[in-house]
Amino acid sequence: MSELEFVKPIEDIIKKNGFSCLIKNYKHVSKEDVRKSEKIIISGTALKDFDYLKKNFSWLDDKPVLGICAGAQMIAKKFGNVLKDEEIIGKFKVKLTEENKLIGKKEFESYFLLSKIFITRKDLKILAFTNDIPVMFKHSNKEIYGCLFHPEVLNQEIILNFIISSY
Amino acid sequence: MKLALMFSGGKDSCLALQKTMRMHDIVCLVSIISKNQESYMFHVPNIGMTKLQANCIGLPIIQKFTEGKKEKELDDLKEAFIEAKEKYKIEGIVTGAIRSVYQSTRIQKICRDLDLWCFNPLWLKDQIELLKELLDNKYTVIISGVFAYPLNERFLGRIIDKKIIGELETLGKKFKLNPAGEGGEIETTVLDAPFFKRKIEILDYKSSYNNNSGVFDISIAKAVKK
Repeated sequence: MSELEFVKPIEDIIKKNGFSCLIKNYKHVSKEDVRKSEKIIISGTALKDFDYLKKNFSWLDDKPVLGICAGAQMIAKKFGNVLKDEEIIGKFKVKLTEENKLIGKKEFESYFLLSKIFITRKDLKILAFTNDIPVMFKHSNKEIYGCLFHPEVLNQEIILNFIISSY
Repeated sequence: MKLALMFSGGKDSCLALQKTMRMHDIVCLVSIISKNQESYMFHVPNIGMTKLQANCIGLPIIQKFTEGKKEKELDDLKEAFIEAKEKYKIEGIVTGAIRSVYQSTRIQKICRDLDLWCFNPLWLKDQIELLKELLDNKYTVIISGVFAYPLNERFLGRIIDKKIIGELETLGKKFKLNPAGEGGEIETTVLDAPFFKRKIEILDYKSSYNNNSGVFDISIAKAVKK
């Protein structure tokens, strides 16, 4: 059920802009799938779904990655960061603090559907905040990004810029 | 998973129901009947038809009345979900929300408070694709409300077909309307769908239109054999 809500909208953005994608459940992603992909987007999921926290996502390597909501939490956790329960649901203002390839606006509104944030910043450069909570990051030396909000709802340019940027 | 569907009797909730039925058990419908004609949260035209529609589908329905006052209507919705949880042991709610962050935020928060899953299978769906999906699935859907210029009385009571989808698509581009009415421009009522065991026949109605706003109000209808 969550695929229609969290994956299909991203697939539509990718395809409407003339790109193709392979959709795989994170539980079934192989190293071969990763090898064949140029870039990887890890979508969000329903608010009550925490299965992704049980996986260590060993297939993540040096390919550019954009993690959205649960995907971003998972990336933060993968690099040794600590997650904490914090509910953010609805539309909130995001303030950009670091220039980056995904969005140029200094301030924008985003849709959040989130129950966990990260409280440490190991290997992460914070790109944006909402009420002092870091909500967008880039890995310090890899092309790996995370957004705790859902860019597919109000900030589709983030997804598009991730796809078209050359690294 | 046992789920309840927020049911307005319109195209979006019916399509959400059809998509969910393939994967989960919808065990009841929940309808909120709002007295506020301008509710941002709830569909208003022909909401009184939901009992007959539920009967045609063959599912029980929980109907709650609300004055439609901004935050109080959310308490009424919450009570309906609590009743569904107690009576039908539901684990989650399904909605037909497509793009309304306002509606979605409020429903997600209520579900969170009640420890319920919340699914939105039409979320961000292309609106023309959605209308075409209704045709492909042989739905009978009428336009029961128009609330934006240049939609006028000519649209009221019309069945959604290829021709009207073309018109809505053209008007959508020209006047920046959501062609499927997700911004509240149009409301619909479903008379038949693949999962309806019986269909609805309209026996009497009243159509009214004034100042870019009109309603096709079904006053008498009955369930008939398909």
